[in-house]
Amino acid sequence: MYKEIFARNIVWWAILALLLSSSVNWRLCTVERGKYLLGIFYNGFYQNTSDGIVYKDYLKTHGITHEFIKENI
Amino acid sequence: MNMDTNTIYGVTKFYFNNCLNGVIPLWEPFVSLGRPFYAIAICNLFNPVTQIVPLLKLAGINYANAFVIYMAVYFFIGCIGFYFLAREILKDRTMAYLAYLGLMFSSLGVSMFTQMTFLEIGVPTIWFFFFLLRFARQQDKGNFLGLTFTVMVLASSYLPFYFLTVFLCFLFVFIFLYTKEVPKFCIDLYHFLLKHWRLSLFCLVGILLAAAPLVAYKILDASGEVVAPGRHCEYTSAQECYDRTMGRQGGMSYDEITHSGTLGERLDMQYLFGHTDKISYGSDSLFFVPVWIYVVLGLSFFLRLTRLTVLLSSMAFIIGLTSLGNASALYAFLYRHIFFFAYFRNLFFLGVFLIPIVILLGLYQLQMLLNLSCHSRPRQKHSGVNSSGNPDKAMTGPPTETFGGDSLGASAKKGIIVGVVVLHALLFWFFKHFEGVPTVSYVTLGLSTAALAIYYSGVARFSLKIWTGIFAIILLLQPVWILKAYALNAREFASVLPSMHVTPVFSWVRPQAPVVNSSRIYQFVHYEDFWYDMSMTDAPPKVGYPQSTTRWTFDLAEHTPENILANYARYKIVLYDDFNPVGKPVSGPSPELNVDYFDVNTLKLKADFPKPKMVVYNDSYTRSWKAYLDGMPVELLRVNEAFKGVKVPAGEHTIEFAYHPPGGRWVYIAATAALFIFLLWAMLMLYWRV
Repeated sequence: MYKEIFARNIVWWAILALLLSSSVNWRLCTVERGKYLLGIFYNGFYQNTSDGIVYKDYLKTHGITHEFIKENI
Repeated sequence: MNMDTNTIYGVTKFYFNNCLNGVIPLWEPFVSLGRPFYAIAICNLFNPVTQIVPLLKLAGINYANAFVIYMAVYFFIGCIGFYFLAREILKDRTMAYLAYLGLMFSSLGVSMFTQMTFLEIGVPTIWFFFFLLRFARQQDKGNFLGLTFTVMVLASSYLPFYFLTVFLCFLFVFIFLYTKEVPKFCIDLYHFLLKHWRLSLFCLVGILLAAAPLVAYKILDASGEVVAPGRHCEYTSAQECYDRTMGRQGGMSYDEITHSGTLGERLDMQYLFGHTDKISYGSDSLFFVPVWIYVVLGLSFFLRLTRLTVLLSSMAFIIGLTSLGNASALYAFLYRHIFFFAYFRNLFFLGVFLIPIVILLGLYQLQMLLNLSCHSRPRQKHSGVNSSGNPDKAMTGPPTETFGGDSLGASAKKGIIVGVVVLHALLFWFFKHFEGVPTVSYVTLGLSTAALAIYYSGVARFSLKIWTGIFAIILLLQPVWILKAYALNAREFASVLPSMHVTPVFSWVRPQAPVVNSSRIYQFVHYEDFWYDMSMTDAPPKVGYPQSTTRWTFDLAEHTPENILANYARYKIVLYDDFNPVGKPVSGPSPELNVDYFDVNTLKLKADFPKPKMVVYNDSYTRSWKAYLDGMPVELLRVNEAFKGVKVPAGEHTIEFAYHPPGGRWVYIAATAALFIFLLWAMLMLYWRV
């Protein structure tokens, strides 16, 4: 019976999800993404006003500003 | 086109434009004060498919349009390869067709306009795994040659380390999961190599020839005369970066690689589902697969776990972790223990391999889900080559472990339908947690619920074709809508790139200011050099830090303010009398000195000096440059720190500067010819099924 229960995808997905959430520094990902996006959009070379709107939303919803990056590096 | 695709277009245009002029380019005289033809090994130039570009040019299409056609052709070659791969794995044409659609409408297609590299590494990898699987089943020459050809393309088109990472990941998981099948495969391979040792030897030679341009560039790099400055010098001191660049430590530091270009930097889980209508050209690492693939993965929670599921999901997991760079401990481990991880950056490129893996995984789960059917689903006979009793059967094919297949009773039917509805409801609830999930994703969920409920109820006994059509509509609904939004967002990003054929003309004076144009490529400083190469006109005398150049020029530019360097190297030719340190710049042709011939590798001058002179050519010096006086070799001097000079006696003489790097043009000719020959050979063998 245990074999029947554990031999299901859900157990495997759960293991992978657990590993993924525990082995990745998600905060660092957020900081790096913030640096990249701020660099891409506001570095003076590539001043997009409407490019990559999705990423601007990201910066806004995650509260990422230059100050945030400075504080987190 | 935008971002790195512009770079690749620039290099491709420069290469084929010169080839059509009858000159295989080895040197770029227009940028960075002259440097070896950069990026020769990263632009798929020797691939038979890429030869579409010059052929279309000869047919009257301009370079930019020819390049877009080539990209589209290469993309569809990848999609077709994925169809065959999916058919081999799933043993089901219907699922393979859905897989094809899934890939075609994933971010892979739109990414080619910003990151052509995705196709360069993704397409041959897909075909590699197809031939590997075929070869595992049937050790024939056709499959072996197909396998060889894909490796050749990978070796010639881009740094092969991305592919190596994926292949090692596959090997690791495969050996662990398929312990019984591995020894048999190794023995079969051993017997094949012994039996066809001549063919094996030819294939090895083919791979070496295809890798020759990359090896030649590495030899040049190892000579110490070419430097590739660090791309991420902003994260360290200028002096440290300079020292490291000039020290040629071999590979990149961990910080240099992980400070930029990781998948964690580019991708957020939230945008797998939300705000997908806002994507645009600036997103050079788009990642999306049709939302229905995620829905199917969600529905598969209670299916029986199979080895193929573990194989595909483990590969996706390991590749994903690796691409996260310093955000995951795995990458640090790999960097420390596997040498080639120090030789490639932009780890987000690895994300391109996640797309086909996730789609395959999703379609495999769909196949298992449909096999739960309570009515007879027409089974297909697969035209594959698997013979009965082949032990690799366990690796692929429709799963046999189902809840009961066609024999389910009414209560089981109800149970499955309720399960489908509940799981869809849970997914609806899951999506609600993301910001900006478009309505079309919810519509997909609704249609999926209805279709699967009808399918399992057995009420509508549609033919396989109709069901395939229904599933295809559900699969494509969301990505088509995304692409429509993408097209709207992309309107303002049309960049006008130089696309006309050019015959280069020697200019005596370099411009002092950059060419003014409104193209976005020009605004992104890293790509500025490629603009000048595309149009084959001189850039102002400067060396951009992230760009490759020669060692002496890099050193000169590092220690000379930009305005002084601009004056210093403004004139291409400067004449010096003996014992007179002040040179006389030449601003144009005269009876004393004129250009006899010019191409990107060569400059021939006709001189008629009243007294002996030192002729200085303000173009970077390397030992691979040679000088000839009246056709006879003479000593080429490194003068004015970084440039070329030759002593010329009084009277009429011809002076020639010519670039002869290791291997020269034969490296490119050999690679192109080898790839052509192996492609034809593989196709013939596959056609004859030898």
